[in-house]
Amino acid sequence: MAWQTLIATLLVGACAGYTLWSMMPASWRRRLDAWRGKPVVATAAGCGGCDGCGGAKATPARAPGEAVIRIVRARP
Amino acid sequence: MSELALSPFTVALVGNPNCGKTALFNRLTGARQKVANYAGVTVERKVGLARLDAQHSIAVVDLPGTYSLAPATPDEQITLDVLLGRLAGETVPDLVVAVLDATNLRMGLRLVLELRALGRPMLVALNMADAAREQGLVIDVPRLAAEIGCPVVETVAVKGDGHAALRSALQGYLDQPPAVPVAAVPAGDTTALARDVRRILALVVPRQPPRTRLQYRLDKVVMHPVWGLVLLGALLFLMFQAVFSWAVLPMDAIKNTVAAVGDWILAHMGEGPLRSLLVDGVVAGVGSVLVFLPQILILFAFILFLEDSGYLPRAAFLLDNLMGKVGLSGRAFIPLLSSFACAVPGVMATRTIANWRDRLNTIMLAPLMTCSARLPVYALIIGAFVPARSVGPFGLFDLRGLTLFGLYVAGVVSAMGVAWLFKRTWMKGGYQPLMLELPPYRWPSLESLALGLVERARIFLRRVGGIIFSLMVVLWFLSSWPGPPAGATGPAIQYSLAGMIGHGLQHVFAPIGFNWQISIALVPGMAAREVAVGALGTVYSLSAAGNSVAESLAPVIAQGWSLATAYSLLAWYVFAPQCLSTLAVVKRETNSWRYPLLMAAYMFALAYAAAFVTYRVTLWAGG
Repeated sequence: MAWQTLIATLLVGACAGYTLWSMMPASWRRRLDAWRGKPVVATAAGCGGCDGCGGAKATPARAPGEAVIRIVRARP
Repeated sequence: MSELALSPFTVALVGNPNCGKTALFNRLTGARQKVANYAGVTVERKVGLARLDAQHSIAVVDLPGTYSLAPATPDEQITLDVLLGRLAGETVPDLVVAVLDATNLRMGLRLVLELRALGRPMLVALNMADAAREQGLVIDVPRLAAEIGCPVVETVAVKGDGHAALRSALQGYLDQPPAVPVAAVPAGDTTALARDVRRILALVVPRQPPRTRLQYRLDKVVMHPVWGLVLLGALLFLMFQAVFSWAVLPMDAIKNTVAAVGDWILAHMGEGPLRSLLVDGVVAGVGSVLVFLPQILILFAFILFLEDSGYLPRAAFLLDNLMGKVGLSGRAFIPLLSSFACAVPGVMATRTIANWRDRLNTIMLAPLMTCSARLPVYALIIGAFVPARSVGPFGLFDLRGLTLFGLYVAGVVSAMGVAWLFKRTWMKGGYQPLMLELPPYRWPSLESLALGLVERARIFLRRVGGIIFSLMVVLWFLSSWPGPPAGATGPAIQYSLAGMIGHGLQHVFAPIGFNWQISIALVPGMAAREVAVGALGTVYSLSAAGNSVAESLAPVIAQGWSLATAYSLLAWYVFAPQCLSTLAVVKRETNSWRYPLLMAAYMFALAYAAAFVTYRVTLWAGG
């Protein structure tokens, strides 16, 4: 019972963190990425929801392994 | 720093819309950017890394298609800005690869000549060389290279090794990097340019084969003002019938597997919070969404088939008259059609619309198109409340498919109504005629179709395993904590945080027939609409007295909801104002919070009004 509580707590914490990360505005995420020293190479949709539709986020390359797609926004 | 940022050599792919730039980009970089047989699929610049050999790699830039270097639309402006090095923070490409559709040299050569006038190092990729040969076109490639004044290589971007010659040529450039002069758009004399194109064509393709009449014959039917519309209606109708009729077996298989997993956990794990999380949160929530994968794939199989065949731009012309009557540009068709998959790429695809008012009008309507995330919600409610029986002459139609078709039509009709209203009140302006290149009909390749479906399945499963899974776990926690007080008699969820939120929201939603469980589901549904289905699965699983995980959600809501509530929720989802990613992309595209806020407000008002009327009318009719 105690181990179930522990694992459930960890899982809930991790999922809450992931949800928060996915839902936060992309600009905040980029700033956090920069703060963590991680190179920013792609923009993702705010919710992580529709980001795979070919629109808001680039699809990571597969064949050579290293290919990264970078999207540059149009100026409205 | 990424290898992409360090890559010293940049190649820009430039060409007319629909000449195969993105397919070539995907071949070179191994990426999976969307390709389709119509113009305007790529609306922003994309960069990938192409590894030529163990030591050398280059950055490849895929640019939106353009007919000339005089941009008329925002996406064409991006192309020019990149070529001239005007895009902030971006370097000027070291080499321009002009992608030329070998089957349509007349159109492409004009741009190639304009690019040549820029004075940059250039290479021409004569794409679709195989299709040109099949048409009987004999192109004198060395002569073409001599006339243009740069190397020309043949490519077939849709075939595995169709880019080999281009890779070799790029390797050659890498060994001897060319100098990059400062460029400016030359003052073009269009008459002289056209004359030059005709002269080169006469030299490199001296014997033009007679055009196949099959395309014209097909167009006579497909674009007929009456028969064309009948065909379009029949195709869409067949699509929605298939979504319900063909998906039964795989859906049952997934449903049974999910139930078996839930039963296995119940049988092998002692009672406790982790078991509840897995059974009520993960299996009941995530499993309720997963079951709709076959229906989504069937829908996309049709869409991908129509995209690759070249039919969609013809449908745009067919509907141009109708769209013009409600004040929409014919160019709005492709963005609105993209919105059937997801409003996010739909909103971005409006960059092909030159007129700002038309573009804004289309952006505001895009979320009214029924995106694929609504399909699980529709399918759940239809499956629970609409009997599976055949109707119509000879029992030809499935009633559920007919209902789904009606819901999609409702979305389109309401979009037309809103467009009409906007054009007469807010975004007044003249009619913009539709100019769109009609691609040749092509028989869609099975490989490309299969890849497209695998990609859709991957996207869906990533959502299920990512945001939907995490939201279900968070919702399970909110639905389980705090526990019920001593002596409580109702289900524990009623006393939880989610229960309190649901009961609070019910004051707002009670007039449209939504109970507290539906009210809870609407909140996480803002992240992705299909999450509402998973949320209902979790909430009802936790509300049930026994272990109801083995049952699917549909019979549970069929017992618990009135017909009026079900219809009201369907009406709500026709407008479904809650989608944060759509609002975010509207903010990005319009560079203002004003429009996403207006969009959310008008869609919420429409959704509430539609649900209210539906609920009251159904109650009045005895539902």
